[in-house]
Amino acid sequence: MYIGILGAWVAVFLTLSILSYLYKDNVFYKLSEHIFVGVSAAHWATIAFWNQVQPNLFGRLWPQAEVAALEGFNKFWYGIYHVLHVLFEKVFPEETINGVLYRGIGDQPQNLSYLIAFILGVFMLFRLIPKIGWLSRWSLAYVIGMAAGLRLYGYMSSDVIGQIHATMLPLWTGNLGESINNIILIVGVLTGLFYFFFSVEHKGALKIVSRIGIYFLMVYFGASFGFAVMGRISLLIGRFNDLIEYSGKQYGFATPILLLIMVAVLILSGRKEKKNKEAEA
Amino acid sequence: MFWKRTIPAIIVGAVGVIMLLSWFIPHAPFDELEIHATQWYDIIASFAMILGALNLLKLQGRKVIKHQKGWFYSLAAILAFFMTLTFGFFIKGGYYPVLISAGDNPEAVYSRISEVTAIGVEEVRNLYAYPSANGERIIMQKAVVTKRYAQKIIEELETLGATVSMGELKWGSHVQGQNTYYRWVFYSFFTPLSATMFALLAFFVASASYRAFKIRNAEATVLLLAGIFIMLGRVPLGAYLTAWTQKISWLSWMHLPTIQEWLYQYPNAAGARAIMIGIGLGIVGTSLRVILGIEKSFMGGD
Amino acid sequence: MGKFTNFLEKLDSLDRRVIFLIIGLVVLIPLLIPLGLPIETTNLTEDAFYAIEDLPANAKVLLSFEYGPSSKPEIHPMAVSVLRHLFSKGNEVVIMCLWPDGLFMANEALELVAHDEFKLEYGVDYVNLGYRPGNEAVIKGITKSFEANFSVDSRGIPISQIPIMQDVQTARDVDFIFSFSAGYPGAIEWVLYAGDPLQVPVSSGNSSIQVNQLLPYVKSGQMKGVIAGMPGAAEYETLLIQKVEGKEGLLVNKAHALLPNFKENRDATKFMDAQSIAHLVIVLFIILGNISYFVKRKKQQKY
Repeated sequence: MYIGILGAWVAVFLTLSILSYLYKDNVFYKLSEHIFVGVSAAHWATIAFWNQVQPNLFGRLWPQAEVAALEGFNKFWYGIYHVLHVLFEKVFPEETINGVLYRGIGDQPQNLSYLIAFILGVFMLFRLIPKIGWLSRWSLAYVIGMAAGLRLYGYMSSDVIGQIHATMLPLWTGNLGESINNIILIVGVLTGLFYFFFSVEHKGALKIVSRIGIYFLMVYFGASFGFAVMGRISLLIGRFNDLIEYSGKQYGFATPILLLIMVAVLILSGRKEKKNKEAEA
Repeated sequence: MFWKRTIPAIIVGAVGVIMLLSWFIPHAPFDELEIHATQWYDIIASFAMILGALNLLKLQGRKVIKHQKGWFYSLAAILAFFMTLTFGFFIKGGYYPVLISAGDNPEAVYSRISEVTAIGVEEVRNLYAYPSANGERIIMQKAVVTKRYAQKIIEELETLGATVSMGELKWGSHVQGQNTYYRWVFYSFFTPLSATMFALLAFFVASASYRAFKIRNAEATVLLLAGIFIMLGRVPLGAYLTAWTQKISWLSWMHLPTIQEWLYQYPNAAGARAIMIGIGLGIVGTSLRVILGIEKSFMGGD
Repeated sequence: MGKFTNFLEKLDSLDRRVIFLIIGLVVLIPLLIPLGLPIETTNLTEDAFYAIEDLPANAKVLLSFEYGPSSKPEIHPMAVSVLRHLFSKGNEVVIMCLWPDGLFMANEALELVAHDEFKLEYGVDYVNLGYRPGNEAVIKGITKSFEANFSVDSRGIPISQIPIMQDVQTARDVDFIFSFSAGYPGAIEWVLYAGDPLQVPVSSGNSSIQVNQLLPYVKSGQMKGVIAGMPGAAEYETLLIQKVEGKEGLLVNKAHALLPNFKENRDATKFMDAQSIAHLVIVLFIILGNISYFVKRKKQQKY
């Protein structure tokens, strides 16, 4: 990927700034953290706009059409497009192909019902204005209703019924090892589920069942912990690998130079803080 | 009350029921409804991302204007925001020379292209020999960003007798184009920041393991042992340290990867499945409550 | 003995910055001085590998990129390996992204494998449809129509004009779905909204943290294996090299010539030494922490 020497220095500075938090909270870390917040917010908004809003929303309201062939309502409608083109040329392009002027985006069929989606989207933005912020509830309601409808079936089918079906294993398969493993799976699932069943008190024999369930759950949590450690270490390896790459001559020895500068600044500022504290005391 | 609570409840119920029915009725009108309903969802989700960006500006801007504590950092956040936005919407880059024909002096042309793109002359020659798409022989996209530099390369190659045209990435596809300022911001700013934020956790996980992971009871012991077997059994070192057990048949089960695999595929899988069924039932219940209008917490207060 | 127990007790309150420094060194040193530990493959990765290996030559595979820079070291090597595997067999690949950063990751992987290594033709051998926000709604949407959701690809080309998409109208028209995922939306959503309802086989390469959540799907057959984190990526790289070296199964002519490339550019395998040593050190930290805890507890019980 092309980032050049400047890009490498910026990347190393930001990486070391974040890592400096391990020593203590400091100016470098706070600055990088805030830059991250700013860049991320703009990045997600930009990507969402160019990948969805422009092609799929505006592209359905104003698909590409030959200007000369427009008539009736579309003539007025694409007149609005032309005004938008004058204001925001990059978002609402016009093209001349073989001497013919075209307005619009892409080749989707026109669907003006998407104006409702546009209005709901704008309502979402009203959340920033306290007086009319309640309109964003309509957009949220749409999103939540959609998610609920999708998930109800999806989770019931795959997570509940699918998994229960997969737990129906033969207790005896003809092979001792396989049979024991199947029994472990069945017992583990039943006792694990029972641990979360609070409609009856867990006492006597039920308490034993619940305790067995806890142990299976502890194995799961322990394994999850092991994987979590694995994942985090992998990410650290990736960062260190990049720092090693940027310490080379082709990137102007960015890593060692910036590391030395940062360490020096942190030590000096640490000493200054200590002196100030002593002076106050 | 009607506009603020009743209408949203109607929307949730209606959309939820339509989506649920579309699972069971794949025919008209549900098939068309489903296509467009999901598109509307995607569009509203995009606006939610734009809302996030605007909200950031509002909060950080307020800090800067009122000179609250740490306003300098908020200014940095706003500047970084606008830098990214500028490259996303106003300054694109994405210009590149496209070689159509090498002309009568191909070796000189290949040599210059090799200097610009930092690939070998032999490879340039091979690229030129490759069948062209739309008359474009070699697209020098990786190496050139600005219009001025692209124009300069075009003039140099034309002086050497080549036929060259100017290519330009369209607005929209520029966010992921090879030679745009936006991509530079992504790899120079976003990538190191995002990656390092998560990489920090490796240190804290190690520190937490040392300080907090104590065997206080039987459950903690089981948890700890499972974690240790996974950590050592899934990496090459675990296999290497217990490779000797493979040479003795009755000890072969003590091979760390073998123990790890069994633990992972059976007791761990049982626990995972129990949790998955439990969570699945919870989600089904909550979704039903939302669709039926029993759950209204998403609407907030009046 | 007294001094030793005092030392062990003091270890309990060790400054965490010492721990940070040790972890830093333990990860850095093996990167600079590799050990070359051999990679042993596991069933999970083998199942994912052979699920792809058993696809016929004319199979179309949908790859979904749901990761970003924060999980790139784990998942990117597997994305590169899977692409190499598919192109080595001559399969066609349709790519889409449910994470915005996935778009960049996909392009990076395609630049290396499709463009630089295999020199394939965009639009004919592979296509990158780009990113769409909407999470599982996008997956649900493509079960009905790709074109409605992806009117243009990542380069702005209408998908009606892309040759590879001519006979791919919905997710039902692909033969396999592979998700590279680091969280939500990801592999789980692919199983719930595409794999199970359409009965299209699904597999995935995941960050280590997500792997354990997917195991029930693998055990029930709803997923065909999983590439689990960086160790899984290293195993996949090993399996791929074994296949190409041994000229096993379907293999296009270019693949064997690219073997030195595959061996040279094996990020996950390269990093496994550091991963192994770091794990060992963390286990030792846990053991040491517990010894110090027991010593302290015993002393407190005495008093």
